[in-house]
Amino acid sequence: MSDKKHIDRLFQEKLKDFEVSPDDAVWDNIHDRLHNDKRKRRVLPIWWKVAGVAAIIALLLTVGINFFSNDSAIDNDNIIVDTENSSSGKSNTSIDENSTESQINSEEKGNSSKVANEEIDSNSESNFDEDGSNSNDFNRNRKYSNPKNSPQSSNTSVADNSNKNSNLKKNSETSDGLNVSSQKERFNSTTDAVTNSSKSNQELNNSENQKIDKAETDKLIKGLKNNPNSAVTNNASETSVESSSEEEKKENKDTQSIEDAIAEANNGEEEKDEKEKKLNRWNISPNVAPVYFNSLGKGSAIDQQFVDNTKQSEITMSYGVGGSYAINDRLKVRTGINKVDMGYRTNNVIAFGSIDLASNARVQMANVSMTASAENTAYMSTETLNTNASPEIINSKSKGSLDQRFGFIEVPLEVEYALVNKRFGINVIGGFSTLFVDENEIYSVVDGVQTRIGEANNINSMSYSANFGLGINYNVSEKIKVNVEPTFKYQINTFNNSSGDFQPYFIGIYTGLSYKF
Amino acid sequence: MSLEQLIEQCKKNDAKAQSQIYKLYASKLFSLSLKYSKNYAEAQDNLQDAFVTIFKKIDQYENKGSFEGWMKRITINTALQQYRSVGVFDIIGEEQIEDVSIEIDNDNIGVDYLLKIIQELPDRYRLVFNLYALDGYSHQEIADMLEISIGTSKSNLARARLILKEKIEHYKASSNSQSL
Repeated sequence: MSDKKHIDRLFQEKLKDFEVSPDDAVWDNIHDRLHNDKRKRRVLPIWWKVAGVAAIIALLLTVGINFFSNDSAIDNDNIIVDTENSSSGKSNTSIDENSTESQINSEEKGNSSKVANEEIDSNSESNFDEDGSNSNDFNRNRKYSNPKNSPQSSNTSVADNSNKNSNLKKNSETSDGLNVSSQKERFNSTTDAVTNSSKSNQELNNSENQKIDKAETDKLIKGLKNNPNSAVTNNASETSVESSSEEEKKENKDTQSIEDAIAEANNGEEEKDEKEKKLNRWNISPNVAPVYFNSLGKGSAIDQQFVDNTKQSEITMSYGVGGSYAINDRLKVRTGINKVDMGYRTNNVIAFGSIDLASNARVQMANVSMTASAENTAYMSTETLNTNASPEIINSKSKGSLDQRFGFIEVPLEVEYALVNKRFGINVIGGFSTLFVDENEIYSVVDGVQTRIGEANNINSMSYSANFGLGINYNVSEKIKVNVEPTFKYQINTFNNSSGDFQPYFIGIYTGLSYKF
Repeated sequence: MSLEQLIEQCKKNDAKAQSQIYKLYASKLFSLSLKYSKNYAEAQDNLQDAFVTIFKKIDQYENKGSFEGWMKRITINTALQQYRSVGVFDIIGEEQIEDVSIEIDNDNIGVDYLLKIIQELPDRYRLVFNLYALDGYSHQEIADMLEISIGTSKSNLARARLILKEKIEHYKASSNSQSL
């Protein structure tokens, strides 16, 4: 028996507890729609952040290094001057001496200048007595000594004094003229006085220098750079005045030799400075790399049905040129431009003319724009086919594969940090690349015949990769290095629609030479 | 984790919490979608759209009233939206009929068959029948939702009932004849 019921109630009761689970794919799609947008939007900001941080670090380092290198340059100058003073051990008037307290300087200067003045007085008297042209010589010598003194005051003073000493000795030996003995005596006394004063200056310097602030030294150095010159020129002029009492020709030769000596000394100094200051910051390195492409997860960039198919990478090539700038001896910022090709093969695919099978949405590949000639061909994964249930016509097909190839122009921006910085170096590399698509093809390979069937329509024209690498290099010479850099590049935003968990990456063994300049 | 906590997490677009909510309600909302749709595929599409809307608008849910009811309304609205945009509501020529009380034997009719005949109803009959008979909306509400008159709603409901009754009786007749 059955009781009569209102039709609405019948439906209500029957359907009350009716529940059906939807396909898992529904959730996947929902998840993708909720989080894909977010991921896409995130890509840029993350890189902006990373790039921003990198830029700030680079900026701080540059500023910091410049700051410290300026300090060290001052320190170096002081050290150089000090060592010269101690090594020459003779009558040096230098920046350092003058950076001591003015009292000491003035005292010492006073002493030496008194002596010098006496000398000049006596000499000038005798010189003028002997020959009127001596005054010209005096002037000429002065002229010579001024430019000499200007670039490296300490050096010229050394050269001047030491050379003049010997010159005068020579002169006094060769000449049997008047005032020889007295000149000798006087001159000795002057040099003694000068050496004494400078020695005492040095001693004072060493103790005083430590007390003096950097800022003070800076000021003093600037202010006093001129002072030693005057002091030195005084000395030089004294001695030249004395020597000028001797033969003019010899004088000229001597001054020339002095000039040479000064020039040499200056050159040597400059070269030293250059070596110390000029780190070869720029670097250019052509490179070539075998590239292996794969996906971290199981997925397909071509179609849902190929998610489970085995994929194998083709070994392709990347080549290009990079440049780097050394922020310091360990850290480099680098960029460049590379052409990189990638390819992989999706196995276990069968191809058949769509006439074989009524046109079915299932056999169209989601992410492929087919060429006109390939439009009538359909491709299916044999992984998803049930061999028993599928028609004979499909089972009889031989298995082929789909080869997807794409190429990018890669512009990396990376930071390289040297862990080991010897003849043999090890460094770590991190950064990112921007990839611009310049090649995009899909081929089918059936029975060994390769046919271009179209191109992927889901590759973004611009995408990114996060790069991590380990570099090993060997210095062949000062300027040339051989590099090998295995680098892992995780691609971001390459495909705008891929099936399964397709997370493409590529590994390249970047090999090349780098040239410093 | 309680439902409130899950909802809070969902408001932060937390994928795990979204997955939990989905697991809890997917089958209920899917059966709802099935009744409002023509077929299984359309129901899946509708469910998908509904959940995307639910998660995107979850911050508008203010813990007033049942969360399930809120999600059901979104699911139903999603289904209606689809037809509204397609503009099917004006296709059927209108001839008002009287609301009649249709009674039917409560036999063992499979729920699958009932679902099938609901899905086979013309779009608006199906929507009106679902809204009125199964989900308890008034004719006034239905008229507003579908942008039709109350009379049309009533008429559509009556027609839907007649069609369903015919189909059930036909089904019974054929199964009886088979069993004899």
